[in-house]
Amino acid sequence: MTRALASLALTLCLALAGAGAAAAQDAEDAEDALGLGQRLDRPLPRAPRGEEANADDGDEADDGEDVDGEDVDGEAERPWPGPQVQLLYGYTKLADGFGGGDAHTGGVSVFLQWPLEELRTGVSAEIGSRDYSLGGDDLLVRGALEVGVQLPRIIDPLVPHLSVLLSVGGLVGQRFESTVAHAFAGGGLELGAELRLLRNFHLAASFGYQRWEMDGAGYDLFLVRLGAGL
Amino acid sequence: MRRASPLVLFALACLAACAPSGDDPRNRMTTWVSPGGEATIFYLAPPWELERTLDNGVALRVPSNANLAGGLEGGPGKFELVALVEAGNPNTRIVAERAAALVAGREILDERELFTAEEVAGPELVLFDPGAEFRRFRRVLYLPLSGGRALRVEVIATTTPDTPEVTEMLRLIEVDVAP
Repeated sequence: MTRALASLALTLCLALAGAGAAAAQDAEDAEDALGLGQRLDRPLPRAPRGEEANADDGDEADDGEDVDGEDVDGEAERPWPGPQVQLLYGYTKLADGFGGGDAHTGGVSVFLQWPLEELRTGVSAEIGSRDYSLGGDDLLVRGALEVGVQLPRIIDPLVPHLSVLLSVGGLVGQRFESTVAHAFAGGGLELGAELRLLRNFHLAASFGYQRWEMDGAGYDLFLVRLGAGL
Repeated sequence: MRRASPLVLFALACLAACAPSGDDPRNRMTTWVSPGGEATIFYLAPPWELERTLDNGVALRVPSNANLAGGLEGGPGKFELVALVEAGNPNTRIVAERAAALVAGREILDERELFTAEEVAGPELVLFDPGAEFRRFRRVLYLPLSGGRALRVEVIATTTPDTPEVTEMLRLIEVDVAP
């Protein structure tokens, strides 16, 4: 009698468990059918548009995913690795020893984000005027090499960078009614960022410290540069 | 050469770290120290160049365009500076200088006192020499020196030397005024 009751109870439990599992499976099937409750482990591919949709018809290999499952269309939205060109305005103070030395420059910067997006290499050239307290303004010409790192995806669309710069240039001015030229060279660090507005178009701002050597003397400079580029 | 260029830039950048600060204009200038060490003159070279040293002083000049482009030796430069260590008191010496200028037919454009960067005061005359072969202006400054001596500094120029550049050059002169 006891065995018969235990057997009946076990049979009922198994039946209830089977019914529960079947009901859960039915519910999952229903959710799948409605498109609910799916957990996405990667972005959904973008829906094809226009000619793209026609080209994709019946072609499974061109459905917007590469072999690794990464969205190929996302590649097109990445900034072009370069060369990118910026037009710059720069300000610094190259002290003349008599209270003056404000220098305003305009220039061009060309940089690459290659072979890694995080690597930034570039060159720049600037020309401008430097205030000389005891006479007329000087002509300032500067070229720079830049190597640095940037973070292209962390706080997109802002791309900060930290670079090492080597600068060479010259200063031409009037001293005691005579034209004199002095060469300078130096290096330093620059911290800056690009705000990417539309594809490669961006605004840029940077702040840097450099130490230059000119005429046997060293100069501590803080440089501010603003720019826009493609 | 292409491989060497980055190394040269790097070396220059390292040198920049060691150089004295350019905030002090004296660090960019060449110096002349009097034989007794009682006076030091700082001058920007170029354009200033050492013309000759004397037993008790020095002569500097900024070459004229005729000197530079025409290759002419001698002749007046755009600016000339002659500094001499002499006996006497600056105040009595400037009175004698003034009298001599009037006798020579020079016009006195200004009389004043100049303070060096170290706050040493010295009397100064600004003169114009209309009778010279070349149109010349002069600034004559006397600074006191130890031992009852004076440093006579004369700047001669084709245009007026009464400019901020010349004034600062004179202000940067260092003199030993200890008794």
